[in-house]
Amino acid sequence: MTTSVKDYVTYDTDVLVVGSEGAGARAAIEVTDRGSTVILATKGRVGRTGATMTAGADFTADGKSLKDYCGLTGDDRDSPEKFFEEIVTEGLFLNNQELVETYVEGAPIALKDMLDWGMKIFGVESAHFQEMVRGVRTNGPLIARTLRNVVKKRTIRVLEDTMVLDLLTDGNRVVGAFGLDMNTGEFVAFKARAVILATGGWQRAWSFTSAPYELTGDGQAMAYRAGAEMIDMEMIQFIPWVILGPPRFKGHIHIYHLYAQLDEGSLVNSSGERFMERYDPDRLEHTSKEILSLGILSEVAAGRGSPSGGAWVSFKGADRDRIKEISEKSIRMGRWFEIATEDWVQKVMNGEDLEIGAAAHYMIGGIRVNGKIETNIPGLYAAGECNGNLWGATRVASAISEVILEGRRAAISAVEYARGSADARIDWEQVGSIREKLLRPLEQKNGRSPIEMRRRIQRIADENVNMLREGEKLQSALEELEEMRGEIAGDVAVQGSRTRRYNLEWIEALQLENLRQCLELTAASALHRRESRGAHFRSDYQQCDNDNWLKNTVIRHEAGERKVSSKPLVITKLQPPGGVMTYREALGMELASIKGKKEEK
Amino acid sequence: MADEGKKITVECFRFDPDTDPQPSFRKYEVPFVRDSSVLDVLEYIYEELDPSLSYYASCRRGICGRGNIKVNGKARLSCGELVTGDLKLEPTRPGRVVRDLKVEDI
Repeated sequence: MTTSVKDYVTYDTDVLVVGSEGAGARAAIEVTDRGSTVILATKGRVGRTGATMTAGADFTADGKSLKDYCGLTGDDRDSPEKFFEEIVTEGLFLNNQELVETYVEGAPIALKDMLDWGMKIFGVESAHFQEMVRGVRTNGPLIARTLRNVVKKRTIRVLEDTMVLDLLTDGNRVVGAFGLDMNTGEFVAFKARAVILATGGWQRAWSFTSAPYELTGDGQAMAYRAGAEMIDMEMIQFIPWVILGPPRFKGHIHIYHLYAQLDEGSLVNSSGERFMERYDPDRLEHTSKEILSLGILSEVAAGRGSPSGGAWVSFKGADRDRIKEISEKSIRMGRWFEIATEDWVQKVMNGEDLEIGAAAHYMIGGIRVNGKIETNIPGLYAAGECNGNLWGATRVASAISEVILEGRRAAISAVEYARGSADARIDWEQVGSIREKLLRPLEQKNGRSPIEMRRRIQRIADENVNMLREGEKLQSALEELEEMRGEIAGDVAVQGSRTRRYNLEWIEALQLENLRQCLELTAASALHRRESRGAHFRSDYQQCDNDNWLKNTVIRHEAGERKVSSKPLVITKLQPPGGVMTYREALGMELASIKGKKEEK
Repeated sequence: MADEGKKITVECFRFDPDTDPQPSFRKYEVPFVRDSSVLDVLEYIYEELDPSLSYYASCRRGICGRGNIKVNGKARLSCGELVTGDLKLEPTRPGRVVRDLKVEDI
């Protein structure tokens, strides 16, 4: 049902899904297959947006289920229990074990569906550098295309180039959402019995990321505003081996394949030193992703970074045929991507240096959900990257499996809830005040530039909320971000055109508060966790302290205040060990200390 | 990495169907940066010279495929196209312009 009211269109549906890729598309398919009505709203175009399409990508599931359930070459030495144990152990025990169970049980089911729908695979995947089969190799575009084809065949109302900006609530229940059709500039109101958020991360808060532009934390921020709990927002995966320069290749992550399979890759700083000798003299560049990211960030912090804020990478001496062979295998992600990749690979083969850096890659923390992907708010679900705590402190298996199986699981919960819930009732006064807030940057005459404000958020993120953390820096980030809240709410104005048609500046203005809010929660959580664990490294608290910090950081918004607390872990099967270790011991690495920083033993 | 103050001229298609009687081209002077893409140029214009410019960008690496525009008369992806000199930038489907270089999907 569609009705035109003033400058907004109203839609009525059982379930609204926000975000259209791995988690969102999969959720929408499941909702319709279970007989409920669904609207899929996406900031881009289905199959061509978000982080799914840019994934490498493997689809992990335990080897035994691959064989028994999916009918693939599996591995009897593996089992769901073994996979569970590895995820929790390598997540340094911070994981919500209910979510890990949902993952391990759901992965083979989700994979089987994808195979039945025609997803192409290239072969089997081994568990991280082990000889055991633990999934299949495919890639982002193939996954996105498979889901897009199924979405097209189902009765799913799809709204593209549409950003959802706030949730509508009735008491403590979510009853819909409000957003913007970016092409026409017309607002859209959704009346829905349940809403599934599948909006990805907030990587755009950093100037350097491997993620697409549209990941601006919209889902996390609107959920938080509506009263949802956020969990472990300090846990953000930064990955090294992302191209930083030349500018044309910025954000490419496939140089990782060259590094992983060639021994000749080396990293040097601005003085020409092979700096990983300082951080891991034995393994050098072949250390863990975390140590490598910390090494690069430490060099940059010490003023020895490359011009764009990373390190110089060189593959001098590497076998040209081998480079060609590796890159050809890893780049089958579409013609244009291949052309660009061939260009940088050519540079590598010509012996030209490239800059790489530690990029904001994947959000481990996010909206708090249980094993059924339910948030603490009735009617609200959060699937995929936008939720938190499946991976604990480090992610060791595929996020592609995660987003698809959680999309499916969220839909099952949402449909069940929608069937048993009373009709949604929209509070039109609430809609009016959201509308007024969204129009402010477009209508007010003078104010701060949205571009300048976004850059300011990115400067804070780059300098003070990267992976190499310190109490004072986090505190200063937090103060500046708190100060910006009022400025964003009342003092931002588009500087260029006042049109509502695909107005980039207005779109940026509407995303600012989401970026700011997510980064504030990250800084507050990182400040709260006075230890170092996996993706979170504090130079002022370098120990991994199982005696005091085996607990989650939970934040909720109460009466306009940010309430940070520690909550007990959700443990179903595996009891964590106690004891205090160094950060590197906890990662299972025996490494030289990060120079210049005090090491507590 | 700007090359000794060298600049390029970018002629860019501009059109807001709500307010403009017809499309026009606006000229911008942009610093030439070696190994940069047409998308880098669009971002420079938007961020430094004229925030009213509208175009589409998502993945920045040739995967989403939605950044297609005409570069010097040829259909290209803005993120994949190397900048070598002056540019003329137009929408791929002038009859379906949302605004400037952003077009409706077919």
